[in-house]
Formats: sequence, structure tokens, C-alpha cells
Amino acid sequence: MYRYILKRLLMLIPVIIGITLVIYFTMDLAPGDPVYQIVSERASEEEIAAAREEYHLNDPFLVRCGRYLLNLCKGDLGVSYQSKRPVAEIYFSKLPATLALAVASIVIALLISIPLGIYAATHQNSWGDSTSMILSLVGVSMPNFWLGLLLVLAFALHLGWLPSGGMNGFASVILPALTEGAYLAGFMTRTTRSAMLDTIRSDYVFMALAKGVSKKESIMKHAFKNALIPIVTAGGVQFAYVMGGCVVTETVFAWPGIGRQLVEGINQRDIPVVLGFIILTAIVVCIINLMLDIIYAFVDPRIKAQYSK
Amino acid sequence: MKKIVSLILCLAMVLGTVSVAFAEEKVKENVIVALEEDLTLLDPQQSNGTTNCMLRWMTHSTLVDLDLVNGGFVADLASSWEQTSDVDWVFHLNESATFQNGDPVKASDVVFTINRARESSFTSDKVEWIKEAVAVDDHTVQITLSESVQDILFYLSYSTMSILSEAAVNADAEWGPNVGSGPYTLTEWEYGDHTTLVRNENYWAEMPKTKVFTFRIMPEASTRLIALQTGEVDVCTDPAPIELNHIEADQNLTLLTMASEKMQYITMNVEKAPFDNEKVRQAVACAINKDDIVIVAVEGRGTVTNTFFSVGYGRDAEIDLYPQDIDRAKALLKEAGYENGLDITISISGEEKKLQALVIQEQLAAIGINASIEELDIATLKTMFKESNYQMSMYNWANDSAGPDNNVRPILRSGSGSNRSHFADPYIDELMDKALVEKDDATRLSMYKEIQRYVLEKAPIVPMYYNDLYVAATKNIRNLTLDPSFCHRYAYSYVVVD
Repeated sequence: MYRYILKRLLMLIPVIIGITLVIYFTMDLAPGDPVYQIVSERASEEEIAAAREEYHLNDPFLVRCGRYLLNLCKGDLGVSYQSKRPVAEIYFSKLPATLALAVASIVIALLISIPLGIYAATHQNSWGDSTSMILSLVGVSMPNFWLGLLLVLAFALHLGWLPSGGMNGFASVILPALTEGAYLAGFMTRTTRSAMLDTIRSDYVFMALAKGVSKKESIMKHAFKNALIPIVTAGGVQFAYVMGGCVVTETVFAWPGIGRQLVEGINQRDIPVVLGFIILTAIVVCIINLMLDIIYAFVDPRIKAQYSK
Repeated sequence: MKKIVSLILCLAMVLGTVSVAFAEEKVKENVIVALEEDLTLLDPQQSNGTTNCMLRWMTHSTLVDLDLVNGGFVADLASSWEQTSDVDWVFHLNESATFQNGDPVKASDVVFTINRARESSFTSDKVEWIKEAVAVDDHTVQITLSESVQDILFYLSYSTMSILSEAAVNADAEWGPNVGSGPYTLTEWEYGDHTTLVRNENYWAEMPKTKVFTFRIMPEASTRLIALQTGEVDVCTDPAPIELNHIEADQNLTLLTMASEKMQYITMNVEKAPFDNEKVRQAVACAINKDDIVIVAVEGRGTVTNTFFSVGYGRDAEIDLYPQDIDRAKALLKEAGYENGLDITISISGEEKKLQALVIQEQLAAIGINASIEELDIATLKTMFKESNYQMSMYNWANDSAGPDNNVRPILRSGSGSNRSHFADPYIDELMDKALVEKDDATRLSMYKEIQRYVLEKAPIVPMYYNDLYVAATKNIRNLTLDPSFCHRYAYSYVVVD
């Protein structure tokens, strides 16, 4: 198991190099010269040339990319062109907000989707099943900006129960988490239903029922446990997605997360911010995937046995 | 006895009235302002964004300041100043002025600030005309100009020319520029979330009433307004035009407004066909109906303009060279050799510009110009401007109250960085240089009129309108001074507690 974890962590190195090359190349191809975001619009040719020199923008692509990778090895992600602050400092100042939103939205999604998915599967083709599927479809299809504004109007403006935006205590995370969680819940309800439909028709569930195990126990102990793998996978993928930043939700709720900052960096051609944020997000996503693999081992002893080989 | 009781009652009534009259208003301790954009940088000389400028007015001081209410200039760090010759100015610093770290503001700090400003692309144009700055003594600075520039006080009152503490900057190059001599001190900057300014209790001039200002970053206009309506914030900057009627109808809110200095204009690249042809540019100018653009782009909340000079000194309010005239526009196109029409691309960035472009596209179609709209991110558009790689665009320019010369030099002088049309005319270059140093008022005014007439005739740009400026706030806000360049003055504003 430990060897497996170590192997996965070592695999991060080529992943990061690959991501750096791809993003650096993409940013290099994108129109828009970053130097005009560094100097004033009124800068003279001399001032523009000096800025190019200072930020090594005249160097060939491979030299710039190589220098970046070298600095990356030393843990230096560079300095933002805009705010002149270290990129790592900016990222880690945003990470708690993004993490809080991701955890809260996934908790909301799990609390809604698992009971709903199990109910839908065990009552297939009933009114309850149809209703839960319609609800999940609504959750998946509703645009975040629309749902977010509706929630703000209802719970902040009219009822006055929750703050409309910003990150200020537990209450402030509820509305953005509901907005983000609605999509996740919709998606995961369908996944849970589908996984449960596969398992409740399995021979081992019929066997358990034949042996006199109650229906509830057969569902929770036998069917649900075996349906957990696709549910955990879906949940993990969605968690990783939210950790990459939810630009729309962050904008509507003035949530100071990673996504808004990344988009701002792209618009401003703030290459160090874009690269740094994507690399750090890639690392976070890899770690989440690794944790998922570890969770698989706890959920399914057969997978644990494979890791031990 | 009755007389005594009556006397006591009368006395009590009088005292009661007096005490009510002299009772101080109860003021909210922490005023929260919702902004669209965050502060980007602490150094005043390295950025000129609206938020940076707005906060700088609270943390820093300049030598002199614009009088936004009555016009002209008012004392800031310099308690008095005089022009001793055509090119010499002497500024006497307020002797009680101190920086937030307790150090006195000295003439050497002013000299340091001016010399440091020469090194930055954000400030070098403000000190371009300053030949030398000398500290005569601790509280007297002599500034010698290379020419008798008339707009020097405008340049010195610019927020990027905030006076820095030489000692603080030398001690800490990153945080040092943030040490100013204004009434508030920056204590917290959570990038993308909020910035907190706390009252400088040792401030050397009039003490503001509000203890703490928190500037919360809320990019979405609807969220800002809802936060104001729920009482989470006290001020909402730049509400969406579509919300203005609701704000006006809300009895708990007040809508502050004024005409801004932000001019929206069409820019045509004179180095690229077909706009290298003056007749085509003039045809575009004739085809445009500015009233329609204002209605669509900003819900009618703008003031149509026919010139690129902001309201104030030198503006020719009467000029109107191109009232909408489709027949004249078609004739001009025919003269230019485009009788059968032509295809062009309008490159734009941003929602307001997109709405402008949609109306203009329709209006140009009426004279046979088939315009396609290309939406870009701002970095790409700026690069296209710099590399002269576009045909037509919509952009904006704010004079920022920096004097009449600032209406023309940045956007129309040959080779200027903000000259997006790449217009280059030695006659105009020479005329703006002459006007800048002209001492006779009547002659100077006639020069600026001539500049407007000449440039508008050549039509490298077509001014459309000045945006109206809006700030929504709680009805209990007091003393908030709006700035036509959007850098509102919050320092002496306060919110009365009911």
C-alpha cells in the first residue's frame, strides 16, 4: 500500500512537467502581450523594452519554460505581474475559501443524493423515482448564476436569514454551497440510482434476502456497500472539479476563491498566476485522486488486495 | 413658588433644546463599501487603477488637491505655494504634517517622490516637465520646470503623485510606499476579498468621523446591490444601469450621481485600410446617431458629446461637425471610392462596448458598411492597439481632472501610448505643445478650440458620450464626495446611526 502511494506521488513529477509545458505553450500562443499589462498604457518604447528585459519576456520559449521549471523545483512559482505578490502566497490565501466551499457543497450533495438515489433505485418506476429524477435533472440543468441569485433574493433579501455574499463565518458558506451543491447533488443522485439498480439485482442480494435478511439490511449492508465505488468516484471527481475553482458561484457570492483569481489572471495575461494556480490545482487534484484510491481500498477489500501485490 | 417652578421648567426646556442642538450625530464605526475591483498594488507610483486611486486618497496626500466642489486647487501637504517665475514654483509644506509612522513630512520626501516618479511608466508623464526639484529647507520645495507648463498643478494633484516617505521606502521597498500622510492607514489587505483602512489617530489635519472603512470586493453588480439592500454594506459603487430605477424608488437608499469624465469613443486605425482614408472616417462620423447608442448601451444614462474635451477649461461645447446625415455619409464613402460599400471588423472588449458595437453595426449598415464584431479579452485588444493591428474599436478615456492638455496629449499625440487611432499630425503636436505653455488665457483657449476643430474634422476618433456616474448608498450616508474620474472621496464620509 505504501509503495503504491509513493509510486503515485512520484508520478506527480511527470504530470507537473507535462502540465507546465502545455500551459506555458498555450499561454505563449494566446494573443495579447503580457508586457502591456505590466507597464502603463502611456509607457514609452524604452520603458516597454526595460520591462520586457526585467521579466525575461524576450527570451526564447524553451529558455523561459526551462527557467520556470528550475524555479519550480526550488518551490518558487514566481511573482504576479499585476499585484507583484508571490503566486504561492496568493494561491494559499485563496485555498481555504475554495476548500470550505468544496467541502460544504460535497457534504450537501452527499446528504441529498445518497438517500434520494437509494430511494429512487429501490422504488424504480414509482412516482418517487420519477420525482427524484426530475429533481436531479433540475439540479444538473439549472445555471449556477441564476440559482445563486434566486437563493440570494430569497434567503438574504426577503427572509434576511443569510448573508448575500463574502466569506464571513459559517452562515456565509451556506448559499454558495447550496448553489454549487445543487448540480453535484443532481449528478450524484443519478449515479447513486444507477449504481444501486445494478447491485440490488445481484445474486448476492437475492441470496441475502433468501436467507432471511431484512430488505433494509440487504440494501444498506450488501447492495449499497457494493454500489459505493462508482459513487465515491463520482463524488471525488466532483470534489476535484470544485477545488479547481467555481468561477460563476464565486463571482455571484463574492467568494474569494481560486477560480475568480485564475480567470482574472487569464484575462490580464498574468502568466505566473495562471501557471502557478493550474500547477497547484493539478497537485491538489492528484492528491484527491490518490485519496480516492485509498478510500477504494477501504470500501472494497479486493482492491486493497490488489494494492498489496 | 409658581414663578420659581415656571422658571425651572423654562430653563429645563431651553437646556433641553440646546443639548439636542449640540448633540453629536451618532456615527457608524465601520463603514463598508462594496467595490467591483480590488486594489492591485500598494505602491502609488506603480498603478493607476480606480480602486488604487480611491484608496490612495485616504491613505496618502499630495502637495495640492483639486477642489471638486468649487473648482481650482486646495491645500493638501503644501499649505501655500507661489509661482516665482515662468518656470519656478515654490511650495511651503504644512509644518505639522506627518506620515503614518510618525515621521514629519519633509521637503526631501517631496524631492524623493518626484525623482522616483521619473522611473515609473505610470508617473513619468506627470514629472516630464519638471527639470529639477530642490529642498530649500525642511518645509520648502522649489520646483523648476523645463518650460512654463500651465498644467503643473494638475499633474502634482494626481493621486499617483502622492508624497512618499523616503525613509519608509528605503527601509522596505514593498510596504514602504504604502506609508502615506493621509487620514487612514491600510491595516489589512485580503486580496480579492476586502481591504481595511483604520483612522490615523495622529492625523495632522481635520480628523474624519468614521473610524474604520472596509472595502469589500463584490464583482457582480446585483450582489453588491442586494448587499446594500440587506444592510450588509453601506455603499454600492457602480450599480447596474438597469437597477437605477429600483434604487431611486427604495426609501432606505439614496442614489448619488454626476456626469463623469469617462468619454466613450469610436477609434479608427488611421494606419490601416479603409480608415487610412479620411473620407471613410468622416462617413462613419456622419452615420452615427449618438442618442441611440446612449439609450442602448447605458439605458440613456449618459451625456452625448461632440468633442473629446471634458467639461471644463478649453471645451468647445458648440462644436458639432458631424450631425447624423446618411446622405452625406454615403457621398463621403463614394468620394473615398467605396460606392459599393465595404467590409470592416469592429474589435471590442466588455459588455458596454458590445452594446455600442451592435448599434453602430446597424447604423453603418445604412450607409453600406458591413461591420462584423470581434469580441476579445482586454489583454488581446490592448496588444492590437499597440501593434496597430485593428480597424475600428470602441474604447474610453477619462481625463482624470488632470488639466486641459490631458484631453488631447495622451490620446492624440504622435506616438503616445494611449493614441489608439495612431493619429499623427505635426500641426496638432505643435499646437498642443504651444497651448500647454501659453500664458495668455484667450490665446490658449483659442488654441484648444482649434485643436478640437482640426482633430474632429480629420475624425480619427468619434466621441460618443460621457458616462453618468452612480453610487448607491444607505440614506444615512453623509459627506460622500463623488469624483468625476470615479475615484470617489470617502475619507470624510460617514453613516449616521438612526
